[in-house]
Amino acid sequence: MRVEALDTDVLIALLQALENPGHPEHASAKAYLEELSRGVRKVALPLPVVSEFLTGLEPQKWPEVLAYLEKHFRLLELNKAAAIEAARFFKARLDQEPLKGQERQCVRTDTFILGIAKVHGCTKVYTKDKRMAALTGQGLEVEEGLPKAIQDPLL
Amino acid sequence: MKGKVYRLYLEGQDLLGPENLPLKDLAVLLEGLGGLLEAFALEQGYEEPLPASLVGVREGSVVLEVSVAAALPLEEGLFRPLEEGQYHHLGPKTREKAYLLSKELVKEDRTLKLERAGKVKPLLGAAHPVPAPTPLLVVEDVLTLYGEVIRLGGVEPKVDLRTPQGEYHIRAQREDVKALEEENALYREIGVRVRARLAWEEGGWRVLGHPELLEVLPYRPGDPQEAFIGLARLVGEALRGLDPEEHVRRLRG
Repeated sequence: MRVEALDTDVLIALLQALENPGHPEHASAKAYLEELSRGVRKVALPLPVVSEFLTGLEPQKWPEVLAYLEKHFRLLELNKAAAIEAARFFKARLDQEPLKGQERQCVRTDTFILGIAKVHGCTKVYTKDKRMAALTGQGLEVEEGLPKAIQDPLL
Repeated sequence: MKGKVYRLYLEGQDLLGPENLPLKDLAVLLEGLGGLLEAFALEQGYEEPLPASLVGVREGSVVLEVSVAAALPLEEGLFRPLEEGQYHHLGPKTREKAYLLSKELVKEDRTLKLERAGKVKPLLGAAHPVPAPTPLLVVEDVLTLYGEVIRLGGVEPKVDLRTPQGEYHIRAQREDVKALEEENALYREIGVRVRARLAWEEGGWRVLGHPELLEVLPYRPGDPQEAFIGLARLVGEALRGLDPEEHVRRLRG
């Protein structure tokens, strides 16, 4: 059974695609959710993603949305093991080429998300961020774009 | 307990038969081998004293016939990783014991081999030394686990959880187990926060021993499709017109 984590941009894009039948990714988003319902795969949200997701909402909404997320979604926390994994991702990236200015901050957030996903047994992270996609490795796949159905729909 | 007999060969230039093997060397070998099998059994969750015994010593050079509880997956779990040098498949205690026994045999220029599927292959020692284990990274940590409750209760209160990463036998307080029983959590998916010792090994993290339940989380999932549709309804208006990539860029830079 595969567990996959979503980055903030993918979570938002997925919800937008679901809400709007005219969205170009509406059908593929529905197909992905059908696979979740059939138990083919599972989805998880690292807590930094939850934090960034909430940032896009009015603070009055936060308690209700957080309670909803806690009840219905696998929320993955930052712990010591995840911090170590994040350090591994960060070091591997630094060893390739030095990071400059703001890029360092961005990659740091990315590596925390990846570290949390890895420690909690996720096999893949979906993101729309090219920089995060380039961090794939350490036994964790990072794929750019929204998750697509991996099986043909059941007839 | 039914035993399976394994034929092990101790080979070395000075060994033509059992008469060339000093008793003290045999004692070191048996102690090392016993420790290795016991460490493997413990790491497999086998809690009884391990029924392993020497049932024969023969020529060629020195053949030891060792009987071990058949329930233990020795061939796949221990012998194959040793033969193939896939030491990261071994648990930390087993790996340490294999290294120590191998080191003892290397000192005397001897090799322990195993007969398996009609072939005799080196397990450890001079011809196939086990490298020293890399220092193990172990952390006491809090971990979130999500999975299906497959056993609940018992004399020692516990929650057994089947997760995509494997099964966990979680020690729990009686009142937590009772609360889960009352809400019919058996065979349902829950989330828990546990305290655990985690060891980093090549390939990932492994929970050592049995985690301790700290908290049962509010996670009570229904249909995931409904969960997303519900979330879209809850936040849809606020997200309308928001560019997902721009939102993340604004936060992370």
